[in-house]
Amino acid sequence: MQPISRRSLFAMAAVATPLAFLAACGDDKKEGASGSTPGDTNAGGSTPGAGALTGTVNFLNFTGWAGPTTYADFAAAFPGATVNEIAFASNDDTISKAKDRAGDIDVVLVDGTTFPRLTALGVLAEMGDVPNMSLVADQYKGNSWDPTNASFAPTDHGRTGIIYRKDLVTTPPTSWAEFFEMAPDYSGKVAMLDYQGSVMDNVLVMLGKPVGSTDEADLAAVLDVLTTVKPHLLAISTEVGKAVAAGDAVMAMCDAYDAQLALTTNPDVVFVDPSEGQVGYLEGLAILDGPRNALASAFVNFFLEQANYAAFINNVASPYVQPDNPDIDAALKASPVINPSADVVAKLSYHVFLGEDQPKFDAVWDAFKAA
Amino acid sequence: MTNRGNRPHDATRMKLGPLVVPDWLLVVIVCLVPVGYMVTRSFGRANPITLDIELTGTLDPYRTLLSGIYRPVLVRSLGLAAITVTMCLLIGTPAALALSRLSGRSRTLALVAVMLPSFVSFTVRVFAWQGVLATGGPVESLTGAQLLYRPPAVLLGMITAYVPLFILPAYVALARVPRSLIEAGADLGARHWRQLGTIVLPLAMPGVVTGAVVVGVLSLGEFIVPTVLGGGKVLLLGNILAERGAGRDQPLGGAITVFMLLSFAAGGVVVAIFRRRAARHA
Repeated sequence: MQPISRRSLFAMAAVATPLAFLAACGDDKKEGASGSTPGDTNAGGSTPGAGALTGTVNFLNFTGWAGPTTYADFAAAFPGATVNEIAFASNDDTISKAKDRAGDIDVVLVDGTTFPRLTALGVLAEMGDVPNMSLVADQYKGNSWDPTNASFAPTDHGRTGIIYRKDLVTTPPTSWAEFFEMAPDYSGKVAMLDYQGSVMDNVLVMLGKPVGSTDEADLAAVLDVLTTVKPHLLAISTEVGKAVAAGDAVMAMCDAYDAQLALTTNPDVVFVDPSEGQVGYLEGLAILDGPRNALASAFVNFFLEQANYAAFINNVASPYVQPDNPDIDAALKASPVINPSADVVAKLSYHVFLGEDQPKFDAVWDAFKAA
Repeated sequence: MTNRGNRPHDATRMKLGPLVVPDWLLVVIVCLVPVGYMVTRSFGRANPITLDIELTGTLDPYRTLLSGIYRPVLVRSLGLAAITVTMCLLIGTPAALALSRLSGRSRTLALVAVMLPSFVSFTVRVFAWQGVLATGGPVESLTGAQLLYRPPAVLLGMITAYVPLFILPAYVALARVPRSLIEAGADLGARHWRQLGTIVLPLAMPGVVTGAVVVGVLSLGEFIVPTVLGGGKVLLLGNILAERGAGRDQPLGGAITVFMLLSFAAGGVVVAIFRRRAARHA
């Protein structure tokens, strides 16, 4: 199956959200009928088991960020259970929905910057019985935002690097510094990722500053780099892979999964892990406190099951957290974009939660885009 | 004493009065409540972690909006809206005038042609322009000009999106200008340009100005066109509203809402002045 571009998913989310909202409204009624009755086998349960759990799992997710038949398979494995995917468009949207529908959203896809915000809101629940967590490699567990993995089940990760067209760029960039230095040579043919954290954190890495630094001088240096390169940009876009594959741009800052799709589309596209290192994200499933926690745990466990997990990764073509999973496509395993070397992983760091300092970061990004 | 209360007109008003109350309540709830919600938030502070709003009466969101970061966006948005309105006036007024002079089937066909693009989703039309302006697309192939992701593409997208919305009210106003007045002007020796300048346009001015205000209002809040055709490099007020104001910084969104309301109010005052002048002229 053709992998889905996550950027396209964002665009699709705009269309899907109203539909998901309507679907959710419909499911609310069903939940009211089954979820609130005293005899509901789901409420307060702790041990997942097929046939014992019913109801609808409201899953806050990127549109389609799952296997092609994950939800149908879950419904088949747990008769009486269904999954209602609710699309979110940004991390802020996740927070808004988790607040506005507290007790109604069961499972949410989060990263290390959103998880602490959910913790601050007090809406997280501890995972129930998720034996398939053992399939996740240890290196993705015990993160700063959830050291004991009490509420976070890692599912996928990603990183930002450089893509370029080897048929159109004479000297390939190997570092962030070269990428920015070369931009004037390819003025109007360079694309920048439209993700504030991805761009700013990687510029901080290039400058040798701490990831997520909100030091005034560091942020001023980041703004200087970005405003200097802006006149040479073709676009600041979420679909940079597509632009490079099509030849509209010759090089770009690009996320790994988007790069994988681009180089699948056009063999002249090359992905580079910059020599200074990279910043990326680790995503996972978290359970929000509510009446269906046992069912939610069963869903998370089902999602991580070997075959289901492989179907998810094969569908979205994302870097994965189950390196020993034999069902993941050989082509993806062989791709250094999706399955990076130990050297690359060693230089990889994750975006950090900025807390009250977030507006300082926001101001620099807005200044760059407004310039 | 007067028999005014017995006039049919007033009797109708008496009967309709209670019936329209639910409608007005609905209008108030649908229109004013969301606006009031955003205006209230413009005097608050957002918690960047939980997105909770603390209403403190602060004016910080307004200071932020007028700060160095967003000032270029304000200027660019107002400038682009002004250019869009001007271009719609220049393109749309002759088109509306020509439309008003047609009759029968030709008028119907012309009206359909003007309205036809509006039957397609706005977003779809903008993405269609992206294809037209893209590398290897028809425009580049024919002219060699690479417009996509540049300010002219944004302007082109906005003009083509809004010119039909200008033409319609302008056409209605122009079509209502009594032909007898134009004929009277002609009988008194006024040539075509003089008829146009002293009779037709002054009488149709409320419709023309209404169209201009509609275009101005929509242009000022536009965010899809700059995102799709501007490549994310041409930031407008609508983009900040969508990216910040609807998410992490609702107070800033509230301040932008107030700014837009004030701009629209200024437009409303202009319309009112033109209407009054037109009424005097008539």
